[in-house]
Amino acid sequence: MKILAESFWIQKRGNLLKEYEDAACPRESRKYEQSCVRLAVADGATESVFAKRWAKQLVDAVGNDELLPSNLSEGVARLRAEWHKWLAGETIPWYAEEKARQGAFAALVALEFTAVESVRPPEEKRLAGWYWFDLSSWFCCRGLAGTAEESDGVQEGNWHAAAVGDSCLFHVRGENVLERFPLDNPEAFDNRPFLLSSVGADEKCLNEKNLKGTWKSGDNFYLMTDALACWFLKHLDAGSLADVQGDFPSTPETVDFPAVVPDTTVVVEGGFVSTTKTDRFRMWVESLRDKGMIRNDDCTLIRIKLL
Amino acid sequence: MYTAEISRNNPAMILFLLDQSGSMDEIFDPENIQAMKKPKVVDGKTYTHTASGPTKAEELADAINKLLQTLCIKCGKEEGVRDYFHIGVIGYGTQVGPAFAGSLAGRELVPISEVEGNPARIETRTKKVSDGAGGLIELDVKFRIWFEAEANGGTPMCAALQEARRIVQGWLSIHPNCFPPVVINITDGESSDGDPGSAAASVRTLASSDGETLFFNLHLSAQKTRPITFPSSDADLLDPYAKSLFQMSSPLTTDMISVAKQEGFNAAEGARGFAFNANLQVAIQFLDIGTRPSNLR
Repeated sequence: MKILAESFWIQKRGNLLKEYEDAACPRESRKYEQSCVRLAVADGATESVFAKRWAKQLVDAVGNDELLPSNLSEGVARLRAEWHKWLAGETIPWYAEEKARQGAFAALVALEFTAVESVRPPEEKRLAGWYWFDLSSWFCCRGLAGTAEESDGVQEGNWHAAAVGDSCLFHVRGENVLERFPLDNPEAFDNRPFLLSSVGADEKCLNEKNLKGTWKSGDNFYLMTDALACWFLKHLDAGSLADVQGDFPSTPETVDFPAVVPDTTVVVEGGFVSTTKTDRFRMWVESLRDKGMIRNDDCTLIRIKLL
Repeated sequence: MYTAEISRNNPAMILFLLDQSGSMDEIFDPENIQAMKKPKVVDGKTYTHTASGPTKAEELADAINKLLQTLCIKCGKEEGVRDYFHIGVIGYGTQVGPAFAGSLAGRELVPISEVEGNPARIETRTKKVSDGAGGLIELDVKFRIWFEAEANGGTPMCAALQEARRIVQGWLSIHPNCFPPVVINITDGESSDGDPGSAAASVRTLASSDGETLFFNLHLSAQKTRPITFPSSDADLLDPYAKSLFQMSSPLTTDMISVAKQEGFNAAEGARGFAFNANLQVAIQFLDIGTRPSNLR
């Protein structure tokens, strides 16, 4: 199973870099070639303390196979025990003591891919999905589409996602968004979601939001924290992406995103580095903020391509 | 409206108006009531009995100190307190003016991080908390005091509102796009310098690009009636001063009603920012500085 996972993030406007409280696994874009891959994004809550640390602990645990989408509650119980030990050794200012006692909070969406061997030849010569996301210059990935077309056979497999809170997953195949999880419309977002706490005895309800499906080569998955996911769902509802899809690629200037910058994904040993895309992502989010189209919040995206 | 971001780049202001009049010396919830040998007149009222228990002024001091503490906690992160808010405390009694005690004395609007760092003193109080096994244990907790109980002179509420108007106007001239200023008046309701209705209206009409100033009232009364929070009519308010304060109070925004409901309050459409013998701590949670988990209590 070959997967390319590209991670993008930007802190809330007005905040320092160190105040970014989302987390992603992988933190840097990378390519996987293995039979099981787990990825996650998490979003630490502003009104809790140590949220950044908790969000990072959650996604790292997903990446290290300690927190499985199939059973979040089991892994979380272990993480909470570790958290208590760590917190006991910390010196905490008075105004943070009560919040620390109440726990750190974060939204989490975790995704696991597993491979199923396949010998079928490629079904499609061209993967329309790439074009769909070429609507945004930074989303564009034409070069990588070529990689999938050239593969020996179509890969297939299963995926399993679990979520707590309002970080979201989208499964895109060709021109269709097959899944929106766990929130499926922009009105479902507010500033008071139920989140995953570093303390508490709510393990049972942590396994409630679960989704399974199958993937095949050419599919895209997106893991997004809430502000970006809300923007994305608004666009889907407005049909604006579909409207301009037919025009692409002949008239890319009709797309309401920054001018197209040549796609300069750089291949390095064992993985991908895409500094240009990262910069473009940041510029693009800032432009959405300028236009008031997206809530000013930390934004994190993992764009996943099944090759 | 009422959607402007509250951030360190675009902070909000909260101004507390605190009744420090002589009538605030009344026992809030009287115990051990005994007749006096000779009646005593204070602030135009005749008292015939003595009693024990905290006074309204002490209740008010506790209420404002708890509100300030809640604000510090709300803005607190592990690395420090973020200046999402600038805070003013105006007392009105013998005089009308800034009422912070200690090193903040005389300051009109103070960033919340400075408030946090400069309590006048710290008391140790005992608090009963769950022992996790169905029982209660007593815990020593530090209680920060920024404002001391005081009860002297008349109740110049109109003058206090004029002062509030001046401070809000000054703030808005520097922060025209801020979340609208929030003015919280804590009083026993008896204005001594005229009907405060029009002065309150002139405060409410001051606006940022995001909406008009929000004016909330907390009425402390010695009347033994059930606490009332965020009523949408004055029908259940028997005290004429309570009715007057209700009329002066701003309606809660739709988002505020939603937060109040999530916090367990029965706030209906048309609910006003008014509480009678209740606490207004929840008003702090109306102010959105970012994601607040619904399961954070």
